Amino acid sequence: MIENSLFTDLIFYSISALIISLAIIVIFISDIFRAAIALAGTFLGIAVIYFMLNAEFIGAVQILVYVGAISVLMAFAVMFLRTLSNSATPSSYRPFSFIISVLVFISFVIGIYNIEWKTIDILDHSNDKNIVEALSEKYYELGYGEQIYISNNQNIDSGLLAVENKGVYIDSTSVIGTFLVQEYLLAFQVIGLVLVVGVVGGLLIMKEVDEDKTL
Amino acid sequence: MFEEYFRQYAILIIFSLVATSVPIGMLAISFIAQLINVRPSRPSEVKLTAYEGGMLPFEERPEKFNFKYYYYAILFVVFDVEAVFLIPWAVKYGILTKQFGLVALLGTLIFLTVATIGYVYAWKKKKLDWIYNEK
Repeated sequence: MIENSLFTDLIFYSISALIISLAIIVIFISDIFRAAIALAGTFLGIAVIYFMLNAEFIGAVQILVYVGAISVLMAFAVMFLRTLSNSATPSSYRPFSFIISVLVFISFVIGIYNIEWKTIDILDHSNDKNIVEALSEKYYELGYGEQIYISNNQNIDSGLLAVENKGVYIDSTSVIGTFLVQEYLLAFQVIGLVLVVGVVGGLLIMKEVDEDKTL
Repeated sequence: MFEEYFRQYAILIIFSLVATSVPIGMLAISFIAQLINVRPSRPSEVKLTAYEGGMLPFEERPEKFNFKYYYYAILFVVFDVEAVFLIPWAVKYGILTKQFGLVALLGTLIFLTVATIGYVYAWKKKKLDWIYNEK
């Protein structure tokens, strides 16, 4: 369950301050290597935020993919640059990238203000004990395939297949697994397609580099 | 509530505290040793490179950076993401087969097949070799 105590507040605000200050360092420091290290720190702080939200799986993925892999990508780039402090020259795309950044920021702000934060509201204000129990203790899925419905008790008489699930706040990983096969099956396949696009797109850029003979 | 939260992550918090304090402590001891003239301070050009004592960097500007190194990192990231999506599915596979039948298996099988096409393509184009003949 999400908890509101002085301790969690303290951790949240100190981690947030750490994330924001590291992100500012990433932008303003001219040394690429230090910027990459600070970026890894930012990712790690965001992982801690995920853990505080009881999204353990997303937190672990954040560490695995962003801290582990994306930072390796950055370190690869840094490895071959001689004068690190001089290599950060102002780009000619600056006005263009400034506009893009502002647009992305505005879309984030609009998105955050328009989301209904349902689950947190339910836990804070709802008197419906069933929902709170389903989220923080356990619930049952009854039936097969398309005809699955969710219940708080096992309903043994109905003769349906009953699967016991721990609440979303306890075991978020297996809930994601169910959604990957059930509701978001198509999105799951599209992710596979996006991965292929990543590999083939990388090949295309590599081909252009080879043709330029800058090996 | 406080008790429960702290108990769950107490070991993790202690571990991360130790893990951060050891390197910071080492650097601090080294700095103090410099202050009391135990450690000499003689910076040179090689020492100040990004990977001190490693291979010498050979390019001045990021534009000339060979994309091949990047590509290997990208291949790794793709495998990484693929594995990440398999974990929640594998955790519940036994129950999912009861609930959804073959869909649980086929869904992931198609995902894996599609994601592997990129690798087959790269293999066919001989781009997985570090040194390849351009014919």
